[in-house]
Amino acid sequence: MDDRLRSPLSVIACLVFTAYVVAAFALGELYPLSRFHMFSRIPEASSRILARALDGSVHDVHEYGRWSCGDAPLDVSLRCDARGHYPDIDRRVERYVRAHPGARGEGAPVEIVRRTYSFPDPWGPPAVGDCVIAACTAARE
Amino acid sequence: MTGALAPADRWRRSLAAVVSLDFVLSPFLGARFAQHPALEGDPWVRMVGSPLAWALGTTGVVALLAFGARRGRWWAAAIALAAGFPLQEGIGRAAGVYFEPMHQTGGVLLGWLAGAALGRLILGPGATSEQRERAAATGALAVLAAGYVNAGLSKVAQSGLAWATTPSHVRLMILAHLPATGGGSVADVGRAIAASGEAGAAIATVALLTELGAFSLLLGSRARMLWSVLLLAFHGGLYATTGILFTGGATLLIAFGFPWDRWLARVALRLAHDVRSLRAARTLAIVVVTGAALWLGLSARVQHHMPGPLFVLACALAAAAQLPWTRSGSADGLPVSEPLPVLPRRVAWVGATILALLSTLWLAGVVPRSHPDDAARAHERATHGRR
Repeated sequence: MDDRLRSPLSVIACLVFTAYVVAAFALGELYPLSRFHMFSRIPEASSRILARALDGSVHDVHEYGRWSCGDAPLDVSLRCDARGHYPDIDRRVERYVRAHPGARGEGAPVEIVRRTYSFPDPWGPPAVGDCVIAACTAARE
Repeated sequence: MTGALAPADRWRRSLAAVVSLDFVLSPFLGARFAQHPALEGDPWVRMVGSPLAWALGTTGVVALLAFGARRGRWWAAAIALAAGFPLQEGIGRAAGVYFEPMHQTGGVLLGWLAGAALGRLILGPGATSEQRERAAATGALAVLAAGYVNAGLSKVAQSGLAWATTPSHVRLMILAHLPATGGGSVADVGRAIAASGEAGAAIATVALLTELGAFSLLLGSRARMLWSVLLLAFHGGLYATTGILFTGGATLLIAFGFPWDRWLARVALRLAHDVRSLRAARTLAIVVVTGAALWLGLSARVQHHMPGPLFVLACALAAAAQLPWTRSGSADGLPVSEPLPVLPRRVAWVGATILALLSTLWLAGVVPRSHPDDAARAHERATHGRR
């Protein structure tokens, strides 16, 4: 590198780096500033939407098609405590079910459940709990 | 023949390509989230669900094409950022969460402008255009580093050093994203991590240290290479375990973090006297880089943000035409390389035109449905009789 440039470029790097960090923490999520705090919180639990068959086995919702969950469009925010949920993923599941409709009773009984994970002992195995969001019928793809 | 493509020019073109992809995606994201918004009646949300979003996206793409094509077009970068602000604000309010990957790449563009402005001030009127371009590139790299440090500082500010030593939160994130069944060896690794507190704590510690240490990107080319590898591994692990992909940031790390010019020059030196190998190498390079541009578009497709392969093609054309192509050859027995475009700039305009045309047809409901959301809307219109 040209030695005459090295010092000015170092000054520029320090100034811009510091300015971005300070501005992002001062102003928050103001494009294109960001604190990138997506994963900064230590959650107590996480949850996700799954399809639970009659035999108790769980599957991803997209493993089924021809969903019929009643007259109203599926809303996964109803009924269950949504602690630790990922809204984008929840919406994707909702959209998938709406985009793959079937006639009532066309498939087998399948429940859409919110499965919640937590670690009562942080170093131990996870505790798992299911809450039923909707009783549907669907067919394996 | 002139000298090699300067690294700063390569960085500028890579940055333009990456940020222009955000502008291609944003109107689709806005239209999608505006249908079921987190904030009803918000004017930003209404805007992002309207044709104005498409105008802003097109403005951003065109401005970035101009920015990438030639040095010194700071005004074009400023126009792109000005168009990006309402788009990202609207998308954030509609979705209920701001899209950090797009803030990351937009921030690097802002850093380019800041570096350019400081370069003018510090280097003075006698600086060459290459020196000013390097000042701008330094600003861009500084913001890329600052973004990762911000992520680390946010974790420490929110949760203290417990973020690094708590074994549960990485495992909770993995459990929420793992496939319920199967998923191959990557999912098996995720399950193994989820079952082990020691693995969860170790990953959290390494991730936090990698983020906080990202200022090392500014400590010279060797440190930059090392930390780019660490950060790319971080992104790879995040994608493998959760499916969350910071495409733009990872691409900028690849573009900025490694001395491609020096490596290509060494290859050119070896190939200079063997024309057939040179042509083969050039063809391979074109295939590899075009594939990379398609990967950029396909990753967005996989994330369900784009409605069809034609849009991927348009993205690939626009991105590939902006990438820093070089040609290596020999003159008087000595190896030389010169900047191109091998793909003329009109390829980028073709891509942008295809995108504008298809966007109009998609808005008008004429484009064939090829995305789950399109099918869902068609079904709702058929059963409930509303648009």
